[in-house]
Amino acid sequence: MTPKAQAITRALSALQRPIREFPDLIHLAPPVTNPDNSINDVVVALSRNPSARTVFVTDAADRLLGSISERELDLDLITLVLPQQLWSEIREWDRRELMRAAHGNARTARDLMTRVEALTPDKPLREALTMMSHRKDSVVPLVDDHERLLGYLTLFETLALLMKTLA
Amino acid sequence: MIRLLLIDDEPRVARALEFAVTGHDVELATISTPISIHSEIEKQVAAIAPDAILLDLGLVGTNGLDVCRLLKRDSRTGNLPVLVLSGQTDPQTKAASFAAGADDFIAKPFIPTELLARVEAQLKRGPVR
Repeated sequence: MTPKAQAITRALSALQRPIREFPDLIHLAPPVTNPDNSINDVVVALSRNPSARTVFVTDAADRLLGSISERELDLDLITLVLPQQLWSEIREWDRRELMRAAHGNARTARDLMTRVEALTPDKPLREALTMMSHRKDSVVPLVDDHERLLGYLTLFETLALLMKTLA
Repeated sequence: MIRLLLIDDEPRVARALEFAVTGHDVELATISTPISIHSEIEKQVAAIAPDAILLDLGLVGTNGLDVCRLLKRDSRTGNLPVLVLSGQTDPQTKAASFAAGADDFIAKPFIPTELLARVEAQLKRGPVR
């Protein structure tokens, strides 16, 4: 078997192994917010998780309800966080943007979150990559058998591990 | 076998830590009841006799830094390494943790490999001066 074929075999084998066997990839105890929290709370939680740029929304029993990514908030962030008096100092806004912004701080995490699928750590690493690829997302949440949030994996770190395996 | 004590009132952190130590030679104990500096936490910790303590700063009803100072002042617990866990990773929080006597600072979310390596590094250093 050529070195390249051996590397491919190693990578294929890694993809079949359960996620729990990759403790270097798993980020545990990420910041969470509850669905009724304000946008400001969401922004604070996001600021505490620069590596994932995502905050997870959980219910009182820690079950995962959804996620809010920094990317989803980016466009609205200025109008969500800063008072209206400051908006025009930053740039001109068109009517549609202003209408959307009128919802402002009255919105909650529930309004912004996207429902996401999650994996349990006994699932193969391949499933995490498949999920991120299908959703065009860079984060996949991990939950326990009771659907309570444990942590997450990121696309870049998972790919970096595979590239190391292939090197 | 490492006896690791988690002081944290958030069950999700305890669950995450349980997951992190599964398969390792670590026995995990937790103090998760509402904690106050009046609850004689140093006595509870001394009774558990851990090798190291993971202390979450975000305790409800008290300041985790006060708990850290208390543990470091007490003759029964003062020699135990205290590793602070926190989602607040700004320089001021880190500096305040070390000023309160913390031996290390671990940011949440944490990676299991790194957390265990940091605990082991503290234990290799031996009793705190």
